[in-house]
Amino acid sequence: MSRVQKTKLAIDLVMTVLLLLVMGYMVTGEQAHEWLGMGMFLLFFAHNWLNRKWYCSLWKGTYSGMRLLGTVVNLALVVTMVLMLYSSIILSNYVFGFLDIHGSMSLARNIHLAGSYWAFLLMSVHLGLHWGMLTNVFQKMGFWRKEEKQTGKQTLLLRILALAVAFYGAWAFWKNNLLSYMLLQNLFVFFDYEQPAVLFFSEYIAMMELWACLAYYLSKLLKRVAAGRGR
Amino acid sequence: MSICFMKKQILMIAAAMMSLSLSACGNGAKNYESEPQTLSTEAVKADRVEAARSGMAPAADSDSRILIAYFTWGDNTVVEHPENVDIDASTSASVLVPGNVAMMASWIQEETGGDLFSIQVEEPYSSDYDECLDRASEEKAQNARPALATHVESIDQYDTIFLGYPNWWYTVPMALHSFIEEYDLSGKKIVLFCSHGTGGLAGSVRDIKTALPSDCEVEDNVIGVYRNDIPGAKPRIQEWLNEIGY
Repeated sequence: MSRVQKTKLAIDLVMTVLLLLVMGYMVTGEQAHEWLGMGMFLLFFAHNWLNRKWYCSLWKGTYSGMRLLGTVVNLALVVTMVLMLYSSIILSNYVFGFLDIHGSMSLARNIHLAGSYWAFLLMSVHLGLHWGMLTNVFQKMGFWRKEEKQTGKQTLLLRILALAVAFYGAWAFWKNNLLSYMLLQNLFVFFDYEQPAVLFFSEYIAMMELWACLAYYLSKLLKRVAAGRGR
Repeated sequence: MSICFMKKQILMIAAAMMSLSLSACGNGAKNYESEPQTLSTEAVKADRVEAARSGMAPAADSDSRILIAYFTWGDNTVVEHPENVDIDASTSASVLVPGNVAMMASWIQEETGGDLFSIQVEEPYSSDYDECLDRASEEKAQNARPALATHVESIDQYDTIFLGYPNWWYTVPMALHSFIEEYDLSGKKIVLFCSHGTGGLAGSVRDIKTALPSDCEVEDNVIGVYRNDIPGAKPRIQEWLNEIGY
């Protein structure tokens, strides 16, 4: 593995952890939330810079279903992140507190509210769409056993586990009413300050896994369909 | 290092962003964390709420041992031309009196016979939603203590204090802290009530508990009413008061 690849992988890993932490505004408190978010933006720019070839190839080649899905997700994510940065600067009291910027607080609040959950979903999907690539890297590094080397039982067990976590994630998505924030039906997040932090993050990990899993198997399906057509 | 963007492509992305941000604007007018819709004033003991609003301290001859102190946006802002306020837009109407929390307070007063007290800051908040949000956010971050214009004459008279507030930025307006710190509330029973715009009690109960003297007895059963439900919330408040023994 080259140094650039290692850097990329490390950035992606830190971003995944930061994403979970930054969703926990109520767990971390406002000040930490702002700095964690700032870290997220910096890594987001780094991630984009290191993968800038993707932008260059946008207008090249043909679009399969899989490629179209990935492109739509990525572009939506870029738009969402730009909106998140804008709203962060308006809302900020700490990181950008020194800047005397006053925009429309209510607009920024609504953008930040809906944008954060969209970004969470899109990033999870983005992770899922690259999961195959990531497992290849993990296999090369020896962290992950190749699927062919797993026994049937092991594969089955892992799939049941993945399915159970996805169900937990779906329940958490419903329980936390996240869709109502994404569609701006509810304009104020209900935070349960009584909930232990461990449970909060378990729910978000499960939701991340849900979207990643759906995206991963959808991408597998799309590839299979494409391969079938090619024959 | 050369970047491969071309003008056309940048424009396309910009256009996509525009459409997204525009759709986000659609709901911009519809929000307030708390504070009312228009309310049917007939249900309010208008004179008492009005007395509290005009900054009168509870009457000296009152022998009630219950104080109902509340912060409501309507009493903490100045609307130059109330007749111009569009009562159909909830953000505008929310600046009119009685505020949501004042409504809740008046119903608690009816049931408990306590003295009403409207917590008011010296420098009113803007009746403009965005400006009010901005100031409230800054005050929260700076842990500010806005100076109060209204004061309770004899706090020793009361052994129970109902504290009412809207959910502002996932906690209480900072004026609540000014109030708590102004008096010796040591040993008193504290009951909390809150009006919110789907955010619930958020961090308010935790933050108030931290601010209060440690020997206060804080009622665990805190009522939070969604702002749109306030006009019909009287039975719920009565039920809640029954539950906690009033």
